[in-house]
Amino acid sequence: MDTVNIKELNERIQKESAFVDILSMEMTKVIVGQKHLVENLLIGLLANGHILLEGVPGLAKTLAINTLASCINARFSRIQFTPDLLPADLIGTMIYSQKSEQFQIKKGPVFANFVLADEINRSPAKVQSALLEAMQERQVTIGEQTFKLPEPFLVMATQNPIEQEGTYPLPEAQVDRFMLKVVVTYPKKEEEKLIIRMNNSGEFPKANAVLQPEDIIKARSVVRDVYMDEKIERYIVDIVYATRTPEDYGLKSLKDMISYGASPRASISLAMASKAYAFIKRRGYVIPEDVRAVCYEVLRHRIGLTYEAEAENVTSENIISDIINAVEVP
Amino acid sequence: MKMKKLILSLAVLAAMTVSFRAGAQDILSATVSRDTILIGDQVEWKSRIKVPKGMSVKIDSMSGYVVPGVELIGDFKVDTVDRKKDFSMVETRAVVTSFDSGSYVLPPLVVYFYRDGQGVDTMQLPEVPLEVTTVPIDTTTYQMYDIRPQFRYPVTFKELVPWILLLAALVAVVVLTVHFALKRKKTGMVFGKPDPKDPPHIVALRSLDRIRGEKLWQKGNQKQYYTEITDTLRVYIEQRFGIKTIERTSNEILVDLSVKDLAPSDYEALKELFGTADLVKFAKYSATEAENENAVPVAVRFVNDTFMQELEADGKATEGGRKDE
Repeated sequence: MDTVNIKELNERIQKESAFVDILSMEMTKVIVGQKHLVENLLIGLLANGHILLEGVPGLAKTLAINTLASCINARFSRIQFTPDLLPADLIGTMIYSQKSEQFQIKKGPVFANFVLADEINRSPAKVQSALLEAMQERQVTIGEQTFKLPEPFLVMATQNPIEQEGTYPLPEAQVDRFMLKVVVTYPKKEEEKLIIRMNNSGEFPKANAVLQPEDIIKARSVVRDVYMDEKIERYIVDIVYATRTPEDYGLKSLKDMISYGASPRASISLAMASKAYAFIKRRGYVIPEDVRAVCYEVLRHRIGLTYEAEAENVTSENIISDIINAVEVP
Repeated sequence: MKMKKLILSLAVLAAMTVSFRAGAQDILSATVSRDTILIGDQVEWKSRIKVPKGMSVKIDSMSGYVVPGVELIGDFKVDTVDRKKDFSMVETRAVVTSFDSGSYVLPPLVVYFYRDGQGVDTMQLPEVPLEVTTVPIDTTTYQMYDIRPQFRYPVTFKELVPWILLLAALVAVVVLTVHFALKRKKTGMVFGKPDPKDPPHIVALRSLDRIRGEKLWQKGNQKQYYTEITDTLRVYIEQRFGIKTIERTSNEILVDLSVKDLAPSDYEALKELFGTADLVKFAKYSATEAENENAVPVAVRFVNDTFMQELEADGKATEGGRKDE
């Protein structure tokens, strides 16, 4: 019975995931290189997880998100986080109408399918909290009324690793709400050459809307159905546990480097992201490679480093590498 | 008549005494080895007494201070040093020293002569002068010096021997501890020879034979069947090719193996087997009967072929070595 389901699921995924190629193609029309970034945006989109992008300025972070939004015929809004931003600027407020002599609700930019929170660490904690609450609850309360946020709802926040002065770093508990933290790196030489040519010609290709929000919602339900064997679940739990008690996995040296390990939310995110990755790869089941492929993005912001680790220039990426090289693959 | 005899005897005795006295210079002598010494120096005070045959002497021995300022070191020794037909020579010896500068006179020793137990005469040995001088100090160029520090004797080898032995013992203990610790880590044993380890292909073939015997897939345990086969192959590949496999995925293992000198058919067969095993393990795939039946033979063939390949490579290397010789 189960066997039939897997076969059916595989066929369904082959069919349902056809849009992935089209979407990727549309995005690569606008974004040169950054394949890793595009892939992770898709994972976040399909796994229903918010994404935190980190990279120096000018790496097409905003453009990538913009393009993704325009590929899907959905509402997109961009909020530039500044120190004087208020929660009401984000979620909306009640305005008194003299005409109707009543308070009217004015919804904020958070009421969109895709929200780009640019430079999220430039706003104070109360604004960050307002957004992060909306991200978690997927609803917003203005005055006495609660409003559900539209589906799909995806927040993509960017932050700059340099220029830390005057910023408000996201607290650990709030960073944990982002399913993925993607580190955007510089393009390759060939890619950068293409970027120059594209800019010199003055012709900027535009991405077409190839998907409807409903397609994403449908794809998400298929992603949720991707089969994950108990062995893979155990593998995920082992990886997450290794961030908490590395000494149990023969990684005694990491014990003093980790101040706190990944939360159960990390296990959930790792499982969901692995499923989304398997879906992108047109598979109806998760294999250990899928888990390893998303491991860095899911765990890097969920592992707390000690002062000792910082003094020795040990990064969370180093720790994740050590862990996946030590945990037995099923 | 009696009176005449007595007068004769007295005359003889008087004549003898007179002759004895007359030769006193020859009979007694006293000397010191040096008549001038530095403070604290030692000098031998010696005297000689010529004792005519038939006579004996007695000398007053002494101890402690000879005179104030001069003291006797050790015993006062009296010895007969020569014996002639008519006399014997008796010698007295003593070592004296002084810790006070000045002029001294060593006192005359009194010698008592006896014949047949009867005292005959008493004589005195001559006095001996002794000058004790002090260290001269040049007051014109006098310079004060600090007290000399404590003298440090150089360390001798004899003194070092116990420490060297102790150090050697400590080193031996450390070396033995490390040796046994490493041995234990490697073999699990501290003493005795470890059990000979079977080569990887023997272990793998034995394990595959056990898996076949357990008839797992026939009993519906397909997942366990493929898990055990792939686990066996992983261990074999790790030991045979030195590739880390336990913490790697199937694809990673295949990528690592692709750079090894494997027969393409073996590589493809392994790839297919790993692919099927992954499907069974992670995708609830129900392998066909043919796939199940083939899984163990494919694994056995892979083990045998790679082992034979290694043997051939070893053989070629040995032949090459001989040709070079």
